[in-house]
Amino acid sequence: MRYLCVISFCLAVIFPALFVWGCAPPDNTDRIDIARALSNNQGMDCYDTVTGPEPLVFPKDAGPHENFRTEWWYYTGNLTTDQGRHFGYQLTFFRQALSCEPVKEDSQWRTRQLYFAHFAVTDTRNKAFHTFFRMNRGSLGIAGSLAQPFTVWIDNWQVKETGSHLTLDALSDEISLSLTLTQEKPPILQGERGFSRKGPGTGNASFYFSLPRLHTQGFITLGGNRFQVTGNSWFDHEWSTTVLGEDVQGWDWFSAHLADGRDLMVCRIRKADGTSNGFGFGSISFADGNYVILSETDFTLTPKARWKSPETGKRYPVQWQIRIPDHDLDLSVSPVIDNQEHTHAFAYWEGAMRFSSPGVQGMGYLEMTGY
Amino acid sequence: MSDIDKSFDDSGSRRVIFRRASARFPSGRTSVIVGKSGVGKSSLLNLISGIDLPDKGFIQVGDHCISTMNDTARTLFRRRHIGFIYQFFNLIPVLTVLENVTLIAELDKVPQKICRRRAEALLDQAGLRDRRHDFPETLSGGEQQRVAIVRALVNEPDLVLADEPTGNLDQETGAKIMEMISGLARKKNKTLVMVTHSPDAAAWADQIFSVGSGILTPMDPATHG
Amino acid sequence: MGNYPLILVCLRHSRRHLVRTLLLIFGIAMGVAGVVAIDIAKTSVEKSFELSTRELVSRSTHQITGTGLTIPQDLFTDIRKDLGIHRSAPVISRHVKVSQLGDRILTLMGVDPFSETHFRNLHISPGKQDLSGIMTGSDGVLISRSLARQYNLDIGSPLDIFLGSRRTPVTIAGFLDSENSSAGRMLEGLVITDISLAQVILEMGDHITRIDLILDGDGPAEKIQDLIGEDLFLVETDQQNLAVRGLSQSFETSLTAFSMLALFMGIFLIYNTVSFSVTRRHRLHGILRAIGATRSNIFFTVMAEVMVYALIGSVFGVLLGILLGNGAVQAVVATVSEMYFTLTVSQTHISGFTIAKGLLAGILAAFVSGFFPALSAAGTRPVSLMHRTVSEKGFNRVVPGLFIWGLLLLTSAGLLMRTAPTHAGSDFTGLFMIFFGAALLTPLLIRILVRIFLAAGMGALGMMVKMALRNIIRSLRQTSVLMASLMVVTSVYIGIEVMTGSFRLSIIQWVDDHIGGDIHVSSADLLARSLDPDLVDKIRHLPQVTSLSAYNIHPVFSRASGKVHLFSYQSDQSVKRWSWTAAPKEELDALLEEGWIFVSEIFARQHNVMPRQGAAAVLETQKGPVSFKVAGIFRDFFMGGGRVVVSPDTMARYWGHDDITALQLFLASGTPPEPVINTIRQMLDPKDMIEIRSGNAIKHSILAVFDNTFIITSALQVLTAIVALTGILNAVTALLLERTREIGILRACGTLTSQVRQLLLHECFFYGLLSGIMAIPLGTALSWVLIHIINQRAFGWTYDMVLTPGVFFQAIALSSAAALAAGIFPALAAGRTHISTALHME
Repeated sequence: MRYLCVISFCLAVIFPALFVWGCAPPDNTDRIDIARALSNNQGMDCYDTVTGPEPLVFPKDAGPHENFRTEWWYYTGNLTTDQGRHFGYQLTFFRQALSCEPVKEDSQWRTRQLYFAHFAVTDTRNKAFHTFFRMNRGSLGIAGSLAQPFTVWIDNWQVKETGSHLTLDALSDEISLSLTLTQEKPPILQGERGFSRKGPGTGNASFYFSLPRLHTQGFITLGGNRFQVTGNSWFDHEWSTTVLGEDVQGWDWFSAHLADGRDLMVCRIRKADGTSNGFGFGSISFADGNYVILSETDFTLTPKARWKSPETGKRYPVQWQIRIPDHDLDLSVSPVIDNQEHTHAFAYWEGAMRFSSPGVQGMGYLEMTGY
Repeated sequence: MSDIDKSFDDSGSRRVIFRRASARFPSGRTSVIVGKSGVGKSSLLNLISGIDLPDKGFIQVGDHCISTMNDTARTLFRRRHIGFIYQFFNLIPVLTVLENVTLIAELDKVPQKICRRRAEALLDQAGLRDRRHDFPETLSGGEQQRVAIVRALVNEPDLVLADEPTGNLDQETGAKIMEMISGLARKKNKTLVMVTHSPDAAAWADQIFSVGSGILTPMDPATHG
Repeated sequence: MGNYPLILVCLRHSRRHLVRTLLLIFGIAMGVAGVVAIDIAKTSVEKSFELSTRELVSRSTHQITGTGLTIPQDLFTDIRKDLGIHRSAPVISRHVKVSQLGDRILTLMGVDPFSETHFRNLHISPGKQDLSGIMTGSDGVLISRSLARQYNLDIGSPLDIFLGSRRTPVTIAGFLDSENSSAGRMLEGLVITDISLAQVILEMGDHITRIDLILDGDGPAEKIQDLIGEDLFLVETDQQNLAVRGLSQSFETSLTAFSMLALFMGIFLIYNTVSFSVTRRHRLHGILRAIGATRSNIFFTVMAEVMVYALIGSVFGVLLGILLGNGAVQAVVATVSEMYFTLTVSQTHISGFTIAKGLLAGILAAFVSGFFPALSAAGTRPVSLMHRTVSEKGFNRVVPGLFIWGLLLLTSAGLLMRTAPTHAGSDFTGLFMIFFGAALLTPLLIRILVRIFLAAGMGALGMMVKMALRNIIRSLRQTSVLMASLMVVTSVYIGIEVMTGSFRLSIIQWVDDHIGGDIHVSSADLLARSLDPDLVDKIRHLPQVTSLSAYNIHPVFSRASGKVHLFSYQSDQSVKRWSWTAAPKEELDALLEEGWIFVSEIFARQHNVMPRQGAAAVLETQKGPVSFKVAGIFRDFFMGGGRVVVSPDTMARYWGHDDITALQLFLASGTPPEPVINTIRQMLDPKDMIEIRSGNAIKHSILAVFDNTFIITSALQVLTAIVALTGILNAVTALLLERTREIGILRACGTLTSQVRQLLLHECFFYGLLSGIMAIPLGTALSWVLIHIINQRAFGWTYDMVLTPGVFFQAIALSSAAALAAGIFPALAAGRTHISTALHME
């Protein structure tokens, strides 16, 4: 569930990017009123909206859905070297349509699709978190996405389907990631066969599917050293137009690969008062690839300890307890390191986590927004 | 030929120099004015020559009442009728002896020939013929004063005013100068008014006035000095 | 004796002579003001340039540009995607005019907002409209808020952008704001929009202007070099900026020369003023000495007082300079924009350094100027022994010595200028030495000149003339300072006048020789430059056209000098008179056919083509850099990075152009060009971007640019005149004051007021006349230096010095008039001299 996240990115990142062409962090005070912009559905009539289940077709639905406003491809994973050194990584691509009107075709620079991406590596041993940001227009092949072969890219950050694998490449000045991902389980169609409700209003929903377990191997280059790594990744692909309900403050999203072969995802959407909006969701995928969809009543999420960001001053609950009684799960969740906050134009926390219960251990990711 | 009659009055908040003082310097005679410094001896000459104007009263030189003339008229009158001799000679340093002497005449547009002739004649008399093309700086004090005397007389003035003409000279030279001044004055029948405190100079006087307390007091030349 | 009471005495003395004291302060102030004003103009241009380039060129280390000044846009995708160089930004940038913004030339800059992150800091306040709409197809542009305010425009206001004659209507979609004022000024010269809209407005097709890059190390640069091949250039930004900068900088060098002139004048004036003020105290110092003040007491008193006034004067001077500088900045920025680079910023930049420099100039000059007078004051004899002429006599003794020193200085200045011709510092040292040397010559020259005057019978003109002339020599110590200053000022006038006059003549000559056609037809379309052969044919057959020259103008990029224009004459009917600065071989045309080239002076200088036969120059061609033999270097006033003439064959072989981009038409004599122009206009498709201008119009516009360029020099001349007048007024007042006693004598002896005034005015007139005469050789020398050393370095152009008697008469008239004018007030005052007081002054 990253719907809110994307919208917020669009508003907080893209627009400031238009307003402040530069690397100075924007102060958003008089520039943008997120809530106003969200409730402003002017000129949105011509977008497609998500109102009910529709059959998802592959490979078509792996690619972009340009007539929806927002879309993302989200890769997170935990990797270790032979010596057991742990790294977390995140590579996420977002597509945001600027308009649903047709584009004037007098210049090839014209476009209505905007792409941006976050790339992060958590270096657990050095307690270091590296995060990078890219954004560009979907013109001239600088950035874009394709259904077949599945590809999504900005500059030379890209995920591309090659044969039965996916190759994932991202590099910044000091860190590069070059991974091969192999799908181990069939996709999970989240919610109602891929139709995932996020709020009470019509259209407060998205199309959402996940690849819960992608066997991952490849290389991380960091500080001039190249590490061969293996591990598991989680992939989400989600698209929508008018996702947010009223009064939404943020969300807490968890994914975990458990040692017993189960893969877990739970998320709750918080209202301004901090309580859940009742549209939390989740899924458990079993070692054999079968899965069950969870609703908010199936689990409880309890924040345990908070960490205060020295940079933004935000206080994120980085320690959690997850209880899913039906599946006999009572997991303590703690971060591999506390500081995994993205401090680009829009600050949020997303990082590698350890999941442990008396019976089973696992590694996963947590995303927290709206703090 | 000229008769001087004057009375004058200087009053006001400032220093009063003359208060209803009057005197008369007879023409063709040598009058000497004596007094302490600062009592107004030089001012008296300035008034007579029209350089200064009295606050009240009138000054008459010959038939001309100079205290009622305007500045230009006074200047022209001075140029034509009055010769001035100073303590410090006051020659124009950038002009030669001859040029100094003829300056005024030339300014008055007297033809050059005439004024040169007159000047050279007078310089001859003053024994300065050989030095007529020299600049004043190269002359001795006595010579400079002789040039000044020639300058004062060259225009045939009716009245010659001398302000301490020997004050800056040694006694011997001073005596020679006095002799020359009065000699020339008498010979040409000029009226000479001289301010001095030199007892020798007083000896040449026909008439002596003493300046003090704002008035001029005639003195007997015999009793003075 | 402590110094304090002495200073008090002097200050009281000054207060009693308030007018003179004020003049002293004003004199210093004017000197300082000149320095500050010019320096402000110079630094403002520098700053403007820096802002206009660095902010726009941004933080990039490299740029990719092309020969045709455009590059294909796909290159950007390759750089991003294949090379992964994400610190890269595509830019489209050209100058446009916007009618709603007062037809100002602005830079329309198209950027990709997402690539800008690393390059520029632009803060944008959008209107209600979504700015992202510009990317999808709306016509929004951004301009600076302050610019919009100036023209009463708001968000949503329509603008008409003109590229040549093509109009594109757009809308203000938002304002550019800035955090600091310098960026704010930079923004005022910009219209920013998304690269897509810019591409449409500027008709760039699928090209962009350049790609800005930030590259670390050589690795990426090599990769890019491999990618772009031979057609395009990867240029280090600094290097490229330097090329453009170098051109403008040399213009600023000439400004620096002017500011040095202003400083020299300032020093002279200050010396003048101070030494007079000290001389006036002669008696006072004598009395002080008589009552027991030591030499050092007097020295320090004089210096202290001078420094007090210097400080006051310098502060006022700085303020005045700032005021004057404001005007100068506008003129200079206009010039630079016209000639080299459109400066988007034209705000006065006043640096602390400038102010410090001005203050320092004033104080130092006053110190130096006060030092010698103070020394001589310290040497004053006690009053009883005082005699005016003593110091003059002492001075007279040193006159020949000064003359010899002056000659030595002039000689070494000449040697310096000849032997060390590459360093600007040596020029200024040389200039200073020339002025100073010439000033040292003045006492003897004045003496000689006056003697000549007197010998030539000027004495016969009357006693007044004689006295006036002799007075000059008598007070030579002071009059020579006054006249040296006046001479310096007048020579600056002559120098500038001769320089601009000669330059203008050369330009007219060049225009006549090179732009001889009655009508010029050229393509204004940067991308499709060639003229339709049918059109050329039709024009050729117009009845009024007797002959026609067709040529190709092709702009190429040169690493050394930026934009260079290649000319190849396809058919040349014009009679060009080339002015060769390097003697060409005889069979020039044959050499051209063999592939040799002619280059312009500027090009030769920028490319270090030595003016000798067998020199070669490297040009970027389609086949990469190629070395061409240079057959000759011609004098040229073409703007920009220079001009190269090649044969049509060479053009076709190396640049692939055999088309015609411009025509010169020659009409039957007496045919007015306008009807023909109209006829040709009717032949054109309205879409064609073709410029048709009459030869006359071009000539006028060139001369207009030229005249614009020299606005600043004219301003300097005016400043010179003001400074001169002030200085002279001061000096004359002081000098005439010394004549008081003499005037008293004259008046006492029966000299009329009017005659006294006459005498003084005569004297003043002779100050001016003598200074004017002495200024002629100095002015000529100065113009030689300006033309052959400073200007050549500044513009890269040489031209012949044209000396006309008119200039000299003007200069003499100017200096005489200035001196006479300065004398009027003192003469009037002198006429009122109180004779008895004057007589008893000593």
